[in-house]
Amino acid sequence: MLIYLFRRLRCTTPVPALSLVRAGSGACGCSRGALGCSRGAHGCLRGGASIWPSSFARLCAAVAFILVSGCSTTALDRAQLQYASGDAVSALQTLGDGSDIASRDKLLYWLERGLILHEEGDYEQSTQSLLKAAESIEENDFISIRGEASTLFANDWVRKYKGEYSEQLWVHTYLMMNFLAVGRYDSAAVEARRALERIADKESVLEQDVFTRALIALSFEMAGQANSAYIEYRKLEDLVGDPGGTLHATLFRLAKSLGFSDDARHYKNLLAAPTMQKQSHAEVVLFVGAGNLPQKVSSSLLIDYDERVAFPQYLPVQSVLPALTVEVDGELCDCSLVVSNLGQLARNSLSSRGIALTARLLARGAAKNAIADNIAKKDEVAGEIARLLLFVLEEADTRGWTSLPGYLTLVRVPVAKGSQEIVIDAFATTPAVIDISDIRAGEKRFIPMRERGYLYLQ
Amino acid sequence: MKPINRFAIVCTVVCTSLLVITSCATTRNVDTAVETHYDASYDFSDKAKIVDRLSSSLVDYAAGTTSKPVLISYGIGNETSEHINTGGISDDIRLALIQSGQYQLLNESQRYNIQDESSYQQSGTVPPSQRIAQGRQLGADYILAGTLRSIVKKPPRSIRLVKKKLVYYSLNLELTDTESGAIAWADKVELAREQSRPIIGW
Repeated sequence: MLIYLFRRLRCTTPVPALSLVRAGSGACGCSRGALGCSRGAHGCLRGGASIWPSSFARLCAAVAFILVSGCSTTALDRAQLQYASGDAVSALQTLGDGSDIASRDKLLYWLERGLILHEEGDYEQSTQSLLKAAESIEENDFISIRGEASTLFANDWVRKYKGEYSEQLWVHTYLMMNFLAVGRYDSAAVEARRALERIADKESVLEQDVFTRALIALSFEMAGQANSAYIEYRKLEDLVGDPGGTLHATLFRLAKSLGFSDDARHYKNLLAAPTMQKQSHAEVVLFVGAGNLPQKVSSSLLIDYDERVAFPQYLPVQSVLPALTVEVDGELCDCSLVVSNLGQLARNSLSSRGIALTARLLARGAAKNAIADNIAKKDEVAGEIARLLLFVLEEADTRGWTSLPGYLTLVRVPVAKGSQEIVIDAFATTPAVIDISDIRAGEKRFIPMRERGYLYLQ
Repeated sequence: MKPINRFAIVCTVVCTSLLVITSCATTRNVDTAVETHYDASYDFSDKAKIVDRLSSSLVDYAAGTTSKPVLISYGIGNETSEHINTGGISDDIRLALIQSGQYQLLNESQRYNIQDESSYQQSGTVPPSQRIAQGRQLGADYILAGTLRSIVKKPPRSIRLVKKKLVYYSLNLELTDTESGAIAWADKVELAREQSRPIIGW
């Protein structure tokens, strides 16, 4: 039907002509320009006859259609830029109810909205958005014939965004943080199980996300699911050892409660005396996000003077693991720190798609060549213009969850009951100060925080 | 004048008809007694099955006792990978037990409200003759509690056209004697379902 309409439209309506300009932030950045097949520019003859081959006209119309529809992500782009400049409120206003967002970018809408709301402290609304994101990931977990076909002669921007494997995991990571922050521990444990399923699907890429692993263990522990918590803490111990000396204490306590006497003896021997004393205190658990995820950009490989393939990659960054120092009431705390480098995980995630990505690039290259050759057979000039159009259209899909931090650190701060002041210094800007009031013995408090001023080179 | 393309007209009519048919919203009543599943996840048919099976088992247990046991329900823990409101299961089991007439159920969720109401009545606002007597509440003979678990299994990676998923649910329910601490009764319901989804779609 569309082809028929394109044929009818060919010489009666000027098709909006467009040119592509890449914006560094991952925006499509289309602007109406001088390419295309408008009647004035490319000479349709009066009376409906055309000097151009019909396949070329169809290509023009299809390109225009793709580019026009590609420009509808601007609300999302604008919101991402507003958030990056520190204006979360405007970003949320721009995102609105999502009616301005194209259906292929809906997942990004839920992801960005969920994370911004999380950082604004609106955990209930953030949870709603992230649950929608998780649902969208499940629903789009298939190969769409329509989506794949449209990528063959345009680029990957036209298909529905499904999220990198790492992003699919971090939906559950943020949901766990939300549920822990509002005290819904059973729901946090549900998300922990979903996160485990994601890790199992892509173990080689995601198992190094120690922050999520620590969060999974914590969620199980808080939900009273000691056995599952013990298993996850054991896995965490294999990955990071015992940072801050609290992991062995937790494992000892859990092994004892589960009746694993040999294990309990083993961990008891590993404990230092002061660590055992800490068990009677309360605990503040901080989820610290620092820096920003490296930018995803489009890189090109020129195969011939008129043929190229574009692939996405994360900008290389010079980064150093955040060295957090925590003071409780003026005293330096020997806290347990578990850090995940989200930038590296995202990069590994993208690399793991390498084979599928290359296959699609090759298929697209072949399809574009075939289209241009077919047009050139009928009209050489039109063939060259088609080749140019397809060359310009070749653009890597650089969409991504841009509001994510570069690092996530889980800090377990043992505190005495009552009120105290926690100072966290890890950043180039002013240290963050958190006032803890009326914490009871044995209580755990969960505080998510984001330090955007962290000195992080991009 | 250009001849009208017959194929285009047929296509237009077919597409428009399809659009009209598929965009018609419909609503229908579903019989809750009939088992209905859209996918492998937990649904109301599962809940009905679990409640029927466990409540009848509990009623059978009480039939063997001489008195009417007093029960308090501490809910059902959710250890699945779905956000299931297990309060719905425990409420329905409680309802079935009350309707059987074999048990007396304590309302744990109203305890603080009862306390407030009692304090209010004792504050002097209510005449002494109309005040509720204090210290007359029933003590629970048994605690009813359980856990809903799930195991999700996916087949190993291979070239295939459908994605399969096997979901197994089990609900374990137990009655603990509050005096002795012994588990007086326990039962479980198991459900397993396979879901297959095409990998390729429109």
